Amino acid sequence: MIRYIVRILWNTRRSHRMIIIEQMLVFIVLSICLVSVFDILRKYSDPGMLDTDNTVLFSMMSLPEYTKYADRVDINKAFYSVFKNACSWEQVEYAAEMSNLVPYLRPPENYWKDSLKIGENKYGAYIKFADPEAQQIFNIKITEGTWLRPLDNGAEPIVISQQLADIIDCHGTPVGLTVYDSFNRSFTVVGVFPGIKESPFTPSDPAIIVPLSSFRSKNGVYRECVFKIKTGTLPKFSTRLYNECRRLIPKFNKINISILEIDYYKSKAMFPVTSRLKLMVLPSIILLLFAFVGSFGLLMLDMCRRTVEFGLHRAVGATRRSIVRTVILQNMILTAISSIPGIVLLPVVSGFTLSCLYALLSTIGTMFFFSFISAAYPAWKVSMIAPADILREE
Amino acid sequence: MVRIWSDIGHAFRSICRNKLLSAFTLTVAIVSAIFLNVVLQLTDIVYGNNPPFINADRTVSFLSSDFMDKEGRYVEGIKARYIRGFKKKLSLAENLCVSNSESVMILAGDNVIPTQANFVSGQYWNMNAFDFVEGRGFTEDEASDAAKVSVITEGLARRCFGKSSYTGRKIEIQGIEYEIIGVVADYSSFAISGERPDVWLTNANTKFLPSGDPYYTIDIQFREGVPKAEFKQDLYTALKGFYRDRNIDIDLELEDIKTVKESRMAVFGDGGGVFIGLGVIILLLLLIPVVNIVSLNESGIQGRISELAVRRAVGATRFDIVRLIMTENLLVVMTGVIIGLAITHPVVGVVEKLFFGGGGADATILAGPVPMINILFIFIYAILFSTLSTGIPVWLSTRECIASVMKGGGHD
Repeated sequence: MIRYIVRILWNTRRSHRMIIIEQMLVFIVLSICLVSVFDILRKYSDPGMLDTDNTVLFSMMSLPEYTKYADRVDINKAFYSVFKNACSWEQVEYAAEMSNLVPYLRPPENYWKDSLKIGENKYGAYIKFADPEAQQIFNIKITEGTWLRPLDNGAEPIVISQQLADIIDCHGTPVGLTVYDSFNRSFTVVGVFPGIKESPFTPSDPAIIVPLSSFRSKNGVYRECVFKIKTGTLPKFSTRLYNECRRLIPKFNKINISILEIDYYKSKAMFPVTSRLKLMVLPSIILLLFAFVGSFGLLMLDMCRRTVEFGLHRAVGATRRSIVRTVILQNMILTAISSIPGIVLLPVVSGFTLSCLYALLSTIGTMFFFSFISAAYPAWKVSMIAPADILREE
Repeated sequence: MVRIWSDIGHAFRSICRNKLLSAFTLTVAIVSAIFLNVVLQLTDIVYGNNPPFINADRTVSFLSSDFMDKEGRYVEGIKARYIRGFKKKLSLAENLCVSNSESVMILAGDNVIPTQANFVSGQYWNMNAFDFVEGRGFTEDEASDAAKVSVITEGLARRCFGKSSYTGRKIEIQGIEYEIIGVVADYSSFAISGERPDVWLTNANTKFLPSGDPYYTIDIQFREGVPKAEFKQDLYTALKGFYRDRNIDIDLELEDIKTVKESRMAVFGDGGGVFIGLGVIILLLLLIPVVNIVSLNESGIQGRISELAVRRAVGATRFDIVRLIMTENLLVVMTGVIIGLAITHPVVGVVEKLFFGGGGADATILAGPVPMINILFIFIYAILFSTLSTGIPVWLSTRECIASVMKGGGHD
């Protein structure tokens, strides 16, 4: 049957050239869009994405130029009181104070990095501080060892990222290793976590998390706390927290308070990439639909012209099912022919990557699906013709 | 006149007979008009001198702490108290304003809303042409006296207070209450290369929080008619001189100095490639429905070849046939273009909400009415499209021999 269809298509190639050109263009553009989509998805799904659903950042910023030292001590005390009060509100599930841990707030290079000495070697890593509840807020999985737990020997526990564990020269597990920072403070590794992505599309860098308790600032210019709140309670929670700050924090007009969902910062960080993607994908999808509606129309016209041919087929014994199969197969062969240039060009243009392979497979699947859909109705329509009526007209 | 009405009547009957083809052509015309309109307006916004930034090609904007020395170390920025003296070094400057953009929380009634605030000096309103729907901007005196006044966008005003009058109302930002004295119409997020602010406050009220960077962005507007190279040289000399007086040799080239328009183009236009790439994709993909319509028209005309041959046989000229078919097609295409132009803004609004919400301040792609030149261009495109997709196939079909067609000898 395929040989017969190919012969028919070859004999009527002039009338099919537009469909082939059109589907070829659609294939190329769709596959280029999908390469970008899969590339971005791959970067997004790299390990280290923290769970920021229903998490609210509550931060305070003051500058020494505007607040005296004594005022900053009072401001910090009051800020901590507001935080402690809010912990007991019904909207709050978990709460923790942290420093340098909340992702998406600034470009990756603006997070604090330090040099760590492990054994005889030095490694650069991001240093993050957090209360133990941070694990429940961000759902940080521990792949080896435990989360920050007090040690019997009084040593300061830390957890390290998988990226740091991969580069340090430890024979076996890094749990139990002693780490020194640039101030010569010593820490003991108690666990390993998958990583922390400072930006949704950049890979995780080596990092450690240290308990905040020893380093909580009494007169800091910047403090950050995170609440995990119940779904749908953000507006009420934000307003209540803001009013509590106005009530309790002195020199309120000299500082800045932020109460924002972390997903707000995440959306901001993702915006340049996702907006570009949407601007590419949106027109591609709309015009893919146009292309196949057009193919549908052309196929209907083609079937109308060939009713006598199909009538003859039915008269000599072809079943309705075989007619439908012939028409659909014809359209799919056209789609296959028009896919060939795209299949050859795409790896040349975007390289032989996994994203390219997924894009090719998805595009081929999409094209064949739409090819089937656009041929199904015309095929059914032409299979329902009564051969006797057609032959009588002739 | 009678002939025109007759053609239109015939066109309607033909459209009703070929409902599917007409619906497809109408939909393509609507979508094409919307896409073309969006691309043309975006091009105009990025490459033009449209409100509010009507002097974008003679205004240079730079963050006064953004300079490095020859060793690659950041140097101290231009402090606020030195800015007036710095302006005196510029011989070609007409206006100068300072600004500081910060992410803040607004307390308006019972609502706490995150937004982007711009603390600006009074000259900001003279240098730009914001469309005030209520009230006014603040003056230089109000700015230097740290008056507690604010200007907000219409979109933010609606989010804070719903639909009502806004001037005279109060908002609280960073613990300070400000009176709203002006409301400006929303403007496109593509008109500005950085974060689009929704509220403006006087610069003397800024505490440079929460960024912690205590330096202003300086906008310098140069005199009209002065060549770009000249005023860039003027600024370059002034900056070099300012830092040389402090024994610092900054690493600065003339090419590093960019006007507001050039910065915008670098982000969205040639350099950024955001919608140049988008324009190419749209142009390429508009070919696809056009190819469809050409094929469908070609097939449709072949299907009517007997009808056309009969018309020719009873005296219609080739031109009459072409006019008849073109009228049908033009009617559908023009209807589609008019509908497309009318619904561009609502459709873009839906797209903004569904796909571009959440990017910090919700993005506004388009703002303002459709320029007449865009409408003209789109209508010319529609006529060209109609001519190519219908006129050529029908003209070619009129060259068939009438006798052989009427005998049943048309071709596939």
